[in-house]
Amino acid sequence: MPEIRPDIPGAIGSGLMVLLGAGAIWAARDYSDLGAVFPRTVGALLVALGCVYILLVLIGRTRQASASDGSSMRRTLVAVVMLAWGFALGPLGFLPSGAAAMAALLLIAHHERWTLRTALLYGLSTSVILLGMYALFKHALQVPLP
Amino acid sequence: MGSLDFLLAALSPLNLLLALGSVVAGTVIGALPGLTATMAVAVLVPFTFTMAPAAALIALGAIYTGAIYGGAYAAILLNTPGTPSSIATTFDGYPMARKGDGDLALTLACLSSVVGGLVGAGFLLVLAPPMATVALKFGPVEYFWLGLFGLTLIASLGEGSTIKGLIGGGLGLLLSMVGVAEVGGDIRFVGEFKALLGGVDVVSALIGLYCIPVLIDLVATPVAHLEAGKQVASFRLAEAFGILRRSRVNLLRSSIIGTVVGILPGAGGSIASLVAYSETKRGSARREHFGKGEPDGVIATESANNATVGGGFIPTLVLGIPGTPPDAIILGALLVQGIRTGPTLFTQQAPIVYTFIWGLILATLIMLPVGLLIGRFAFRSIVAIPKAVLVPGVALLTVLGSFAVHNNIHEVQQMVLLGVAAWGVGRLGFSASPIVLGLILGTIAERGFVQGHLIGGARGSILAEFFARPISIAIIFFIVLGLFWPWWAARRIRLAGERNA
Amino acid sequence: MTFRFRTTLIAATVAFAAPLAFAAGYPEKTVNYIIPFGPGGESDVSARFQEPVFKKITGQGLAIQYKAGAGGAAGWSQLNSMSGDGYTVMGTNLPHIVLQPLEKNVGYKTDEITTVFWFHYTPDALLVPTDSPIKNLKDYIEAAKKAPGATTLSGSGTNSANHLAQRQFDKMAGIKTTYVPFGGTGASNTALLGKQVSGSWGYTTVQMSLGNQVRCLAVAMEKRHPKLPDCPTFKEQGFNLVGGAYRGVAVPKSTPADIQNKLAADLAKVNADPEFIRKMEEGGFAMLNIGPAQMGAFMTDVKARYEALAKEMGIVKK
Repeated sequence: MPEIRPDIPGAIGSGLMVLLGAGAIWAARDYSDLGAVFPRTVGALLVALGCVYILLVLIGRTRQASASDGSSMRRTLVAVVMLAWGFALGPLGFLPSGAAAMAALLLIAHHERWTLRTALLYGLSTSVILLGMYALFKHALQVPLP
Repeated sequence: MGSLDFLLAALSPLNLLLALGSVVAGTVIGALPGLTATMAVAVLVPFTFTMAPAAALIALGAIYTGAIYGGAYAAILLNTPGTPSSIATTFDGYPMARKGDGDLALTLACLSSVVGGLVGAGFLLVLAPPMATVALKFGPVEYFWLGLFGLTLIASLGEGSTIKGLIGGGLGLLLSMVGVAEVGGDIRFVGEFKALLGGVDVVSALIGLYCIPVLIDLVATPVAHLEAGKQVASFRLAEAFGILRRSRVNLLRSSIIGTVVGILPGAGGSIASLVAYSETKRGSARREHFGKGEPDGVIATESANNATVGGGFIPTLVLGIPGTPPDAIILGALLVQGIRTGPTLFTQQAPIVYTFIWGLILATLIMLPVGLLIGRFAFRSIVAIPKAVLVPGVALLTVLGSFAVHNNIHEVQQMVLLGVAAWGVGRLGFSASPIVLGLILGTIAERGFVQGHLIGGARGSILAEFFARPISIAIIFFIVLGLFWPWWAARRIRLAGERNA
Repeated sequence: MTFRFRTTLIAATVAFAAPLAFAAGYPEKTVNYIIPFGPGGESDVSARFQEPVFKKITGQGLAIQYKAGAGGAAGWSQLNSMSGDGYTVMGTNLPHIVLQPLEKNVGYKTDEITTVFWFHYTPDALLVPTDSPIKNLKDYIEAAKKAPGATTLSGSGTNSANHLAQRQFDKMAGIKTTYVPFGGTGASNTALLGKQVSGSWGYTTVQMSLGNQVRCLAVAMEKRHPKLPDCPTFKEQGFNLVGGAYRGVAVPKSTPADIQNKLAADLAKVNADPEFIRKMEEGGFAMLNIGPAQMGAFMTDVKARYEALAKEMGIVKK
């Protein structure tokens, strides 16, 4: 039976939110009267709720969501690839950065062994998707891709 | 009321062809995450300049309704709203897909969308002028309370801890304040990043907050994304019809909610589906099942968001004020055609208007077979595509979609940053939906608040402004009801349990 | 801008169109026309009117895109980072591009925006709902004097043309009214029609699109608008208020001069198209033709005027 552990991650998150809320209130000191109402209110709300939650964790009335299974390494890699793609899009252009990112993602996502057949098949279909979407957006929809 | 002539005019081969083509195009565009109904309409507009006014309207209305419906595909199959109107469809649509009921969910979405669209168009046909005046009664204060009402829905969404949900909502609210304040002009939370001056774009945030965490988690295990389910061959139509008949009250109520919200200028499919979802959940005997794959959830959201199409046309055509963002573009297109909207439109240019409305109804009906077919195709392909190819493919769509909204690279960066952050806080137990809700509703609520404050101050009493208006009071009532009902109902069950024990 | 100035300019424009260094073959493909506002507003509609005429004249289309945010600043602050090949152009607006940088740091300076052509303006108009007890400008001033601050006026945006008009007129008439900014003309009109506010500072275009649902108390032009004969000007009622929002087309700074000139020439041709003029005037717009030759003088004059106003209103950043 899964043990019920106090929700430490949640507490960490809540702590983060408290900081954000405080930051909002601090940033609002420069704003005009009307412009500062919402930032202050929401900031205060975040601080209050965050503290409440941390309190709940300390008293032990929270439950941690089940830890996820699977490879954390792959997950982190995907996050890195996506971030890189977002920032490489400008300098490298759409097709080059897209090809690189999609290839990387393909490698990360495929768990089984690579045979020549799967490599060709997947590589080809990915390229088709990339080029097809490129054509669709750039020419049919008139979107000026970088 | 339109006479048969207009219906016949709408049935002309050209108009039918336009309706068909536009519905298909709209459905496909709406299905791609990041491409919104607004964009679908905007893309079509230049082509309409060479068409007759009624035909142009039919094409625009058809692509609009197709796009709103199309958003359901990605919502159900990929846990990513294809358009903001389908945010609420992910709540129950995706869990249904995980359970193997994806095809059922798609069919339900299609049927509900058609019914919702018909209800909305029906109101447009019969009740447009009177309903338009209702729309005008909603002032800034009412929008504020509506925004607040939307935010309380966060509490009732019930994914995990309520407090964490509210915190997520608060985070979304903070994000909505980034940029230049609409009232007062302060530049908030921008720092040195000039790219943030325009604020956090809702669509990019949507894609990032929903898609990226899903994408990241997809690669974690080799398990297939979706199971094929028992019978992929059929549409499960009989089953779907059975469910719909059982839920006809829900269906009708959600469609009406969608129509009314669509009539309110500035409120569109996203808000309509949320309100409908919340109301359905509140009144349902199967409340605990919502969020875990309850068909009623999908029915409520999909009928509501398509009803906003017809509903949104009411203020657009009667008052010349767009009911939803795509309507603003359509208004512009009409102006170029030389069509002046307003009360006289229904009397002096009746042929155009009524032919259009019948055309919209026809397009909605066409959506039924078209939607089912495309839906089956989409389902089969998503299930059949190996995960390794699915991941880069969806990733590509996220990048394309977030770029295409405003042709802005910064928004792609916003998307990935928010997405990775969302995954991060998701690991800490904070889900994406409250954040997105806060983002969308924050603008509406704050705007309404500040404007109401100004007007109330001018009129002498801010309190009276906020609390003494009839519509506001009604909305406040619903807010209180929404907050206390779950607690009250749970208490009653508990008390009954104790009595029976 | 006065009408006299305008007629002189039309003559000048025609004169300057001849000896230009034309960029050979420009435009050779679709030009991206970015509107720094959301769809449906005056900038959008006037651009949409331009589109088919531009295509007729140059053979290439205008692909209208939107980049809304920060009252236009989101677009203008990114203009100069866009490709200067002449196929990316952006709508510009006055007083926005003068007022915004004065007021705060918005990511661009007025002089960095290279406008090649100003093609129309929408004159300010003071509007009330048709069934309002206020029947004319005199009533309006009386009501405002009786209850200072109680008269609410909707308008589009903060420190926009509408807002400026409200402040200017308040000063001229010696009254105090409350300006309630809304996110765009559509929202402002909704508030007006729904009687959420007493009146609205809008434009002649609003009067045209709302028809007989609203009454025009006064319009900020030298002479009455040809399509609005019943709407008196501020001038004839004793207030020297003339102006509105101007719209033009700008390019990134790096665009070569010959392309700029050719673009301006093409836009001038669009502006001379009789059908285009008819549609614009029926929409409530007032035509204008300021091209590269007059740009320097025009901008200097306009900047001086707005800066003086801004200082008076106290909206210059410290």
